[in-house]
Amino acid sequence: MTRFDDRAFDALRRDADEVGRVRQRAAELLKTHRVGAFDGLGDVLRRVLPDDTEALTRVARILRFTKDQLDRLRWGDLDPAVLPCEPLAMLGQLLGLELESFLSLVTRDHRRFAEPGLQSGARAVTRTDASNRDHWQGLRHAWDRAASDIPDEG
Amino acid sequence: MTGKADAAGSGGGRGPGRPSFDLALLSNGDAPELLRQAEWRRLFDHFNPRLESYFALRVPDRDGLDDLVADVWRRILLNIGRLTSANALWSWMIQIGVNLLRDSGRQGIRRGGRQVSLDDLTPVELQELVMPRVADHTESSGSVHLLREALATLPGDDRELLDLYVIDELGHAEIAVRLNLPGPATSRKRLQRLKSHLIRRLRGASGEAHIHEGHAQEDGP
Repeated sequence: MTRFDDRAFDALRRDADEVGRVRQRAAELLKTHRVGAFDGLGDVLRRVLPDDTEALTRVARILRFTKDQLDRLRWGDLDPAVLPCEPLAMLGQLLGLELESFLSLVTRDHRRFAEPGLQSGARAVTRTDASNRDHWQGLRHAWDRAASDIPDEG
Repeated sequence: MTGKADAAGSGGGRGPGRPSFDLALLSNGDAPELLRQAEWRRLFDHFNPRLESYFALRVPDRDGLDDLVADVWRRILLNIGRLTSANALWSWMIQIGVNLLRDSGRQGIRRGGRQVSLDDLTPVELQELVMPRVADHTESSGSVHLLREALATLPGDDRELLDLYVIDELGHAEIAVRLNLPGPATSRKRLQRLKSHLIRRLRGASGEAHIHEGHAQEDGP
């Protein structure tokens, strides 16, 4: 186990700076586009995530995705319903989305996996309605949990 | 977002020798990198030892403590742009840490397998755990002695509320359930009265007019 020291902190800060740039691009994007205009969360991510592999790794690492997960989510190769709720909710908040907008985007991505013919090469995921409900419930819970870390001192 | 921030929590700028931190610089990704890096390092150097000692009592194993503190900083770094006053930095850090403890069910302090209460705290623990939650004044060890005296005079129900708030890190909704209060607002009001009472006692006994109420976790549920 490595101590969390000033070097580890500097590395974390550089990762967070990359997220800051993603957030800026998302803010610009959402100024000019309604959320409803996007085809899903992946569509948003394609416009705001960095192309550079190292930069993408930084974003993924601080959000606690793998780079592969984030990349495949962006390109529609991964059903968001198989991703852990906490980083996914945190990603939605960092993009500046409202909960319902975020859920609608994620649902659009997920639906393509429920209709396999629509997504060539996508990783097939079989989930029951009940497990889907659980996942969305978990996502709402993770959203609230992430929000509880945001300062609200006004 | 504020401009040059005035203060920072328990290192809040209100008392003598308290550093202030520039929130605008911290959160501005377009600012000169060296300046930002220096400000973040200053913030880290100031608060990291405080975070470690605050949570060491709740997370005794070194690896667990490292993980917790690293996660607090991760969330601070990701959300610093949402903070509007550096005065709230320390209370925000504590709130994030407490949220993480709740996630892992590690609330409260145990010693020798027994849950610790206010009476069991050492002077150092009173200084680290209770003073920042009651009074925004952590420099004077004399105040800790006065605080212990003031705590000893509290009625049992007030001590119980303070135990749940400071030691168990419960939010007001949970405190209300435990103490059978009408709701979180009642718990919040009682705690506010209790803090004011303790501050008056501390001020009266020490003559220190600059003792302010601590505000960690007041925004809790």
